[in-house]
Amino acid sequence: MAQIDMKQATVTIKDGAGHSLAVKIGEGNFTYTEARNMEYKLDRGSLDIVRAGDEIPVAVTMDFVWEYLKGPSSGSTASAGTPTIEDALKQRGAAAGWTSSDSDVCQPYAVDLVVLYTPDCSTGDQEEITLADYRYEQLNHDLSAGTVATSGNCNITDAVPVRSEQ
Amino acid sequence: MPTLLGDSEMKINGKTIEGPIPEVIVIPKGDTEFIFKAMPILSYDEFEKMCPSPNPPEIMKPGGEKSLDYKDKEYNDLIDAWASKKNAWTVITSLKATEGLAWDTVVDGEPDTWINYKTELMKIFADQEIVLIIDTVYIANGLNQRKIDEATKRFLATPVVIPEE
Repeated sequence: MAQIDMKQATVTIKDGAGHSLAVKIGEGNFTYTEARNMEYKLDRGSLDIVRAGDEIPVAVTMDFVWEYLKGPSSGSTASAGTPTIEDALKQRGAAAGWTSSDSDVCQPYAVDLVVLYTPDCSTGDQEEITLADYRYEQLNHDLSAGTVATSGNCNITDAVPVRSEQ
Repeated sequence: MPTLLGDSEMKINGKTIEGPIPEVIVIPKGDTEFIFKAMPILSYDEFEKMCPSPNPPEIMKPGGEKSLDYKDKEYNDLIDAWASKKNAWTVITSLKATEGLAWDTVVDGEPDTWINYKTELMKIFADQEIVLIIDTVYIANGLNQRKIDEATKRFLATPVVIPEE
Protein backbone atom coordinates (compact mmCIF):
# COMPACT_ATOMS: atom_id res chain seq x y z
CA MET A 1 0.00 0.00 0.00
CA ALA A 2 1.44 3.38 -1.01
CA GLN A 3 0.72 6.44 1.10
CA ILE A 4 1.56 9.94 -0.05
CA ASP A 5 2.23 13.08 2.01
CA MET A 6 -0.69 15.08 0.72
CA LYS A 7 0.59 18.49 1.85
CA GLN A 8 3.07 18.38 -1.03
CA ALA A 9 0.77 16.82 -3.58
CA THR A 10 -1.72 17.89 -6.20
CA VAL A 11 -4.33 15.47 -7.48
CA THR A 12 -5.60 16.07 -10.99
CA ILE A 13 -8.81 14.45 -12.17
CA LYS A 14 -8.71 14.02 -15.95
CA ASP A 15 -11.26 12.85 -18.46
CA GLY A 16 -10.54 11.21 -21.79
CA ALA A 17 -10.77 14.38 -23.86
CA GLY A 18 -8.40 16.89 -22.26
CA HIS A 19 -10.62 18.24 -19.48
CA SER A 20 -9.03 18.37 -16.06
CA LEU A 21 -9.56 19.55 -12.51
CA ALA A 22 -6.54 20.12 -10.27
CA VAL A 23 -7.07 19.67 -6.55
CA LYS A 24 -4.55 21.25 -4.16
CA ILE A 25 -4.60 19.16 -1.05
CA GLY A 26 -4.30 20.60 2.45
CA GLU A 27 -4.42 17.68 4.86
CA GLY A 28 -5.38 14.06 4.51
CA ASN A 29 -4.54 10.75 2.97
CA PHE A 30 -4.42 9.30 -0.50
CA THR A 31 -3.70 5.60 -0.64
CA TYR A 32 -3.72 3.09 -3.42
CA THR A 33 -3.26 -0.63 -3.16
CA GLU A 34 -1.88 -2.90 -5.85
CA ALA A 35 -2.54 -6.57 -5.26
CA ARG A 36 -2.25 -9.81 -7.20
CA ASN A 37 -3.23 -13.43 -6.82
CA MET A 38 -0.53 -16.02 -7.23
CA GLU A 39 -1.30 -19.72 -7.44
CA TYR A 40 1.35 -22.07 -6.16
CA LYS A 41 1.07 -25.54 -7.64
CA LEU A 42 2.52 -28.45 -5.81
CA ASP A 43 4.25 -31.44 -7.28
CA ARG A 44 3.82 -34.39 -4.96
CA GLY A 45 3.61 -32.10 -1.93
CA SER A 46 6.51 -29.81 -2.91
CA LEU A 47 6.30 -26.29 -4.28
CA ASP A 48 6.68 -26.42 -8.02
CA ILE A 49 4.95 -24.15 -10.52
CA VAL A 50 3.73 -20.62 -9.84
CA ARG A 51 0.94 -19.19 -11.94
CA ALA A 52 -0.63 -15.75 -11.94
CA GLY A 53 -4.19 -15.92 -10.68
CA ASP A 54 -7.09 -13.58 -11.39
CA GLU A 55 -6.19 -9.91 -11.76
CA ILE A 56 -7.16 -7.49 -8.98
CA PRO A 57 -7.94 -3.82 -9.70
CA VAL A 58 -5.95 -1.10 -7.96
CA ALA A 59 -7.95 0.10 -4.94
CA VAL A 60 -7.87 3.83 -4.23
CA THR A 61 -8.90 5.64 -1.07
CA MET A 62 -8.88 9.43 -0.72
CA ASP A 63 -9.74 11.27 2.45
CA PHE A 64 -8.59 14.86 2.50
CA VAL A 65 -9.30 18.55 2.94
CA TRP A 66 -8.60 20.54 -0.21
CA GLU A 67 -7.24 24.09 -0.28
CA TYR A 68 -8.54 24.94 -3.73
CA LEU A 69 -9.74 23.47 -7.01
CA LYS A 70 -8.31 24.72 -10.28
CA GLY A 71 -10.07 24.26 -13.59
CA PRO A 72 -10.87 26.15 -16.79
CA SER A 73 -12.53 29.52 -16.30
CA SER A 74 -16.17 29.94 -17.24
CA GLY A 75 -14.99 32.69 -19.62
CA SER A 76 -13.41 30.01 -21.77
CA THR A 77 -15.61 29.19 -24.76
CA ALA A 78 -14.93 25.46 -24.43
CA SER A 79 -15.72 25.31 -20.74
CA ALA A 80 -18.68 25.45 -18.42
CA GLY A 81 -16.41 26.64 -15.60
CA THR A 82 -14.66 24.86 -12.75
CA PRO A 83 -16.46 21.69 -11.72
CA THR A 84 -16.46 20.42 -8.16
CA ILE A 85 -14.74 17.09 -7.38
CA GLU A 86 -18.16 15.49 -7.17
CA ASP A 87 -19.08 16.91 -10.61
CA ALA A 88 -15.86 15.56 -12.12
CA LEU A 89 -16.33 12.09 -10.61
CA LYS A 90 -20.01 11.94 -11.60
CA GLN A 91 -19.90 13.65 -15.04
CA ARG A 92 -22.45 16.24 -14.09
CA GLY A 93 -22.77 20.02 -13.55
CA ALA A 94 -19.77 21.84 -15.02
CA ALA A 95 -18.31 18.42 -15.89
CA ALA A 96 -21.42 17.24 -17.76
CA GLY A 97 -19.50 17.53 -21.03
CA TRP A 98 -16.57 15.42 -19.84
CA THR A 99 -15.76 12.18 -21.66
CA SER A 100 -14.98 8.90 -19.92
CA SER A 101 -11.29 8.06 -19.71
CA ASP A 102 -12.22 4.49 -20.60
CA SER A 103 -12.10 4.06 -24.37
CA ASP A 104 -14.93 1.52 -24.16
CA VAL A 105 -18.01 3.75 -24.25
CA CYS A 106 -20.27 0.91 -23.10
CA GLN A 107 -18.59 0.82 -19.69
CA PRO A 108 -19.51 3.15 -16.80
CA TYR A 109 -17.96 6.62 -16.75
CA ALA A 110 -14.40 6.72 -15.40
CA VAL A 111 -11.67 9.31 -14.84
CA ASP A 112 -7.90 9.21 -14.57
CA LEU A 113 -6.33 10.32 -11.30
CA VAL A 114 -2.88 11.86 -11.53
CA VAL A 115 -1.02 12.56 -8.30
CA LEU A 116 1.88 14.98 -8.59
CA TYR A 117 4.09 14.80 -5.54
CA THR A 118 6.64 17.59 -5.24
CA PRO A 119 8.91 17.21 -2.20
CA ASP A 120 9.65 20.36 -0.22
CA CYS A 121 13.41 20.05 -0.63
CA SER A 122 14.44 21.19 -4.10
CA THR A 123 16.84 18.25 -4.53
CA GLY A 124 14.19 15.56 -4.42
CA ASP A 125 12.65 14.26 -7.63
CA GLN A 126 9.03 14.98 -8.50
CA GLU A 127 6.89 11.90 -8.77
CA GLU A 128 3.79 11.65 -10.92
CA ILE A 129 1.57 8.65 -10.34
CA THR A 130 -1.18 7.92 -12.83
CA LEU A 131 -4.11 5.79 -11.75
CA ALA A 132 -6.14 5.20 -14.88
CA ASP A 133 -9.88 4.59 -15.19
CA TYR A 134 -10.97 5.28 -11.63
CA ARG A 135 -14.59 4.69 -10.68
CA TYR A 136 -15.69 5.72 -7.22
CA GLU A 137 -17.78 3.33 -5.16
CA GLN A 138 -18.20 5.53 -2.11
CA LEU A 139 -18.15 9.32 -2.07
CA ASN A 140 -18.62 11.97 0.57
CA HIS A 141 -17.97 15.54 -0.45
CA ASP A 142 -18.59 18.76 1.43
CA LEU A 143 -17.96 21.79 -0.80
CA SER A 144 -18.31 24.35 2.00
CA ALA A 145 -15.79 22.55 4.22
CA GLY A 146 -13.60 21.46 1.32
CA THR A 147 -13.56 17.82 2.38
CA VAL A 148 -13.62 14.69 0.26
CA ALA A 149 -13.77 11.06 1.30
CA THR A 150 -13.99 8.58 -1.51
CA SER A 151 -12.96 5.05 -2.33
CA GLY A 152 -13.14 2.99 -5.46
CA ASN A 153 -11.14 0.99 -7.97
CA CYS A 154 -9.10 1.59 -11.09
CA ASN A 155 -9.43 -0.78 -14.00
CA ILE A 156 -5.69 -1.45 -13.97
CA THR A 157 -3.43 -3.81 -12.06
CA ASP A 158 -0.56 -1.35 -11.56
CA ALA A 159 -0.18 2.38 -11.01
CA VAL A 160 2.17 4.14 -13.41
CA PRO A 161 4.78 6.24 -11.57
CA VAL A 162 7.13 8.60 -13.41
CA ARG A 163 9.96 10.40 -11.67
CA SER A 164 11.47 13.62 -12.96
CA GLU A 165 13.83 16.30 -11.73
CA GLN A 166 12.24 19.39 -10.15
CA MET B 1 -9.82 39.20 -43.74
CA PRO B 2 -8.79 42.54 -42.25
CA THR B 3 -9.42 45.56 -44.43
CA LEU B 4 -6.06 47.01 -45.26
CA LEU B 5 -7.42 49.76 -47.51
CA GLY B 6 -10.52 51.12 -45.86
CA ASP B 7 -12.80 53.70 -47.51
CA SER B 8 -12.55 56.25 -44.75
CA GLU B 9 -15.04 59.12 -44.65
CA MET B 10 -13.67 60.44 -41.36
CA LYS B 11 -12.58 64.09 -41.44
CA ILE B 12 -10.41 66.33 -39.28
CA ASN B 13 -10.79 70.10 -39.76
CA GLY B 14 -12.96 69.36 -42.78
CA LYS B 15 -10.20 67.39 -44.48
CA THR B 16 -11.03 63.81 -45.46
CA ILE B 17 -8.59 61.39 -43.92
CA GLU B 18 -7.01 59.16 -46.50
CA GLY B 19 -7.13 55.39 -46.08
CA PRO B 20 -4.29 53.60 -44.31
CA ILE B 21 -0.92 54.58 -45.74
CA PRO B 22 1.77 51.94 -46.10
CA GLU B 23 5.22 52.31 -44.58
CA VAL B 24 7.94 51.52 -47.10
CA ILE B 25 11.49 50.35 -46.64
CA VAL B 26 13.99 49.61 -49.37
CA ILE B 27 16.79 47.17 -48.65
CA PRO B 28 19.54 47.25 -51.27
CA LYS B 29 21.30 43.96 -51.81
CA GLY B 30 23.79 43.75 -54.65
CA ASP B 31 22.11 45.11 -57.76
CA THR B 32 18.63 44.51 -56.40
CA GLU B 33 16.52 46.77 -54.26
CA PHE B 34 14.01 44.87 -52.16
CA ILE B 35 10.97 47.03 -51.46
CA PHE B 36 8.92 46.05 -48.45
CA LYS B 37 5.56 47.67 -47.79
CA ALA B 38 3.79 47.33 -44.46
CA MET B 39 0.14 48.27 -44.01
CA PRO B 40 -1.55 48.94 -40.69
CA ILE B 41 -3.80 46.14 -39.54
CA LEU B 42 -7.24 47.56 -38.85
CA SER B 43 -8.79 44.47 -37.35
CA TYR B 44 -7.51 41.46 -35.47
CA ASP B 45 -10.84 39.62 -35.82
CA GLU B 46 -9.42 37.09 -38.27
CA PHE B 47 -6.51 36.34 -35.94
CA GLU B 48 -8.79 36.01 -32.90
CA LYS B 49 -10.97 33.59 -34.88
CA MET B 50 -7.99 31.36 -35.61
CA CYS B 51 -6.19 31.87 -32.31
CA PRO B 52 -8.54 32.86 -29.48
CA SER B 53 -6.66 34.33 -26.53
CA PRO B 54 -6.18 31.82 -23.70
CA ASN B 55 -8.19 32.23 -20.51
CA PRO B 56 -6.59 31.89 -17.09
CA PRO B 57 -7.75 28.92 -15.04
CA GLU B 58 -10.32 29.46 -12.32
CA ILE B 59 -9.67 28.74 -8.68
CA MET B 60 -12.48 27.64 -6.42
CA LYS B 61 -11.98 27.75 -2.66
CA PRO B 62 -13.99 25.85 -0.06
CA GLY B 63 -17.34 27.59 0.14
CA GLY B 64 -17.45 28.13 -3.61
CA GLU B 65 -15.59 31.47 -3.86
CA LYS B 66 -14.05 31.77 -7.35
CA SER B 67 -11.15 33.78 -8.74
CA LEU B 68 -8.87 33.67 -11.78
CA ASP B 69 -5.28 32.43 -11.50
CA TYR B 70 -3.16 34.71 -13.69
CA LYS B 71 0.05 33.23 -12.22
CA ASP B 72 -0.67 29.69 -13.45
CA LYS B 73 2.43 28.41 -15.28
CA GLU B 74 0.52 26.57 -18.01
CA TYR B 75 -1.60 29.68 -18.68
CA ASN B 76 1.51 31.86 -18.89
CA ASP B 77 3.13 29.41 -21.32
CA LEU B 78 -0.03 29.52 -23.45
CA ILE B 79 -0.06 33.33 -23.35
CA ASP B 80 3.61 33.41 -24.47
CA ALA B 81 2.86 31.07 -27.39
CA TRP B 82 -0.27 33.07 -28.30
CA ALA B 83 1.60 36.39 -28.19
CA SER B 84 4.31 34.94 -30.39
CA LYS B 85 1.68 33.85 -32.95
CA LYS B 86 -0.02 37.25 -32.80
CA ASN B 87 3.28 38.96 -33.45
CA ALA B 88 4.07 36.66 -36.40
CA TRP B 89 0.55 37.13 -37.82
CA THR B 90 0.94 40.92 -37.53
CA VAL B 91 4.19 40.80 -39.52
CA ILE B 92 3.01 38.50 -42.32
CA THR B 93 -0.39 40.20 -42.63
CA SER B 94 1.06 43.69 -42.63
CA LEU B 95 3.68 42.70 -45.24
CA LYS B 96 0.95 41.42 -47.58
CA ALA B 97 1.07 44.95 -49.04
CA THR B 98 4.52 44.07 -50.45
CA GLU B 99 4.21 43.40 -54.17
CA GLY B 100 5.42 39.95 -55.21
CA LEU B 101 6.15 38.70 -51.67
CA ALA B 102 5.45 34.98 -51.42
CA TRP B 103 6.49 32.94 -48.42
CA ASP B 104 7.74 29.41 -48.89
CA THR B 105 6.73 27.76 -45.61
CA VAL B 106 4.31 30.29 -44.11
CA VAL B 107 0.71 29.20 -44.68
CA ASP B 108 -2.19 31.61 -44.00
CA GLY B 109 -4.55 29.28 -42.13
CA GLU B 110 -1.84 27.35 -40.25
CA PRO B 111 -0.76 29.30 -37.16
CA ASP B 112 2.15 26.97 -36.42
CA THR B 113 3.81 27.98 -39.68
CA TRP B 114 3.57 31.76 -39.15
CA ILE B 115 6.75 31.98 -37.10
CA ASN B 116 8.67 30.57 -40.11
CA TYR B 117 8.73 34.07 -41.62
CA LYS B 118 11.79 34.78 -39.47
CA THR B 119 13.72 31.75 -40.72
CA GLU B 120 12.86 32.67 -44.31
CA LEU B 121 14.00 36.27 -43.87
CA MET B 122 17.20 35.04 -42.18
CA LYS B 123 18.13 33.06 -45.30
CA ILE B 124 18.38 36.29 -47.31
CA PHE B 125 18.79 39.25 -45.00
CA ALA B 126 21.24 40.17 -42.26
CA ASP B 127 20.04 40.55 -38.68
CA GLN B 128 20.01 44.34 -38.83
CA GLU B 129 18.09 44.30 -42.11
CA ILE B 130 15.46 42.03 -40.58
CA VAL B 131 15.20 44.40 -37.61
CA LEU B 132 14.53 47.25 -40.07
CA ILE B 133 11.84 45.27 -41.92
CA ILE B 134 10.10 44.30 -38.67
CA ASP B 135 10.45 47.85 -37.38
CA THR B 136 8.66 49.07 -40.52
CA VAL B 137 5.77 46.76 -39.66
CA TYR B 138 5.71 48.12 -36.11
CA ILE B 139 5.75 51.72 -37.35
CA ALA B 140 2.87 50.98 -39.76
CA ASN B 141 0.91 49.53 -36.88
CA GLY B 142 1.64 52.32 -34.43
CA LEU B 143 3.69 50.00 -32.28
CA ASN B 144 6.82 52.15 -32.35
CA GLN B 145 6.46 54.38 -29.30
CA ARG B 146 9.65 56.32 -30.14
CA LYS B 147 8.16 57.49 -33.47
CA ILE B 148 4.90 58.48 -31.79
CA ASP B 149 6.79 60.37 -29.07
CA GLU B 150 8.89 62.21 -31.70
CA ALA B 151 5.79 63.18 -33.72
CA THR B 152 4.04 64.39 -30.56
CA LYS B 153 7.11 66.47 -29.59
CA ARG B 154 7.22 67.99 -33.11
CA PHE B 155 3.54 68.88 -32.85
CA LEU B 156 3.92 70.42 -29.40
CA ALA B 157 6.96 72.44 -30.56
CA THR B 158 4.94 74.01 -33.40
CA PRO B 159 3.82 77.57 -32.49
CA VAL B 160 0.08 77.81 -31.99
CA VAL B 161 -1.59 80.11 -34.53
CA ILE B 162 -4.31 82.15 -32.85
CA PRO B 163 -6.95 83.07 -35.40
CA GLU B 164 -7.49 86.83 -35.79
CA GLU B 165 -10.88 88.06 -34.63
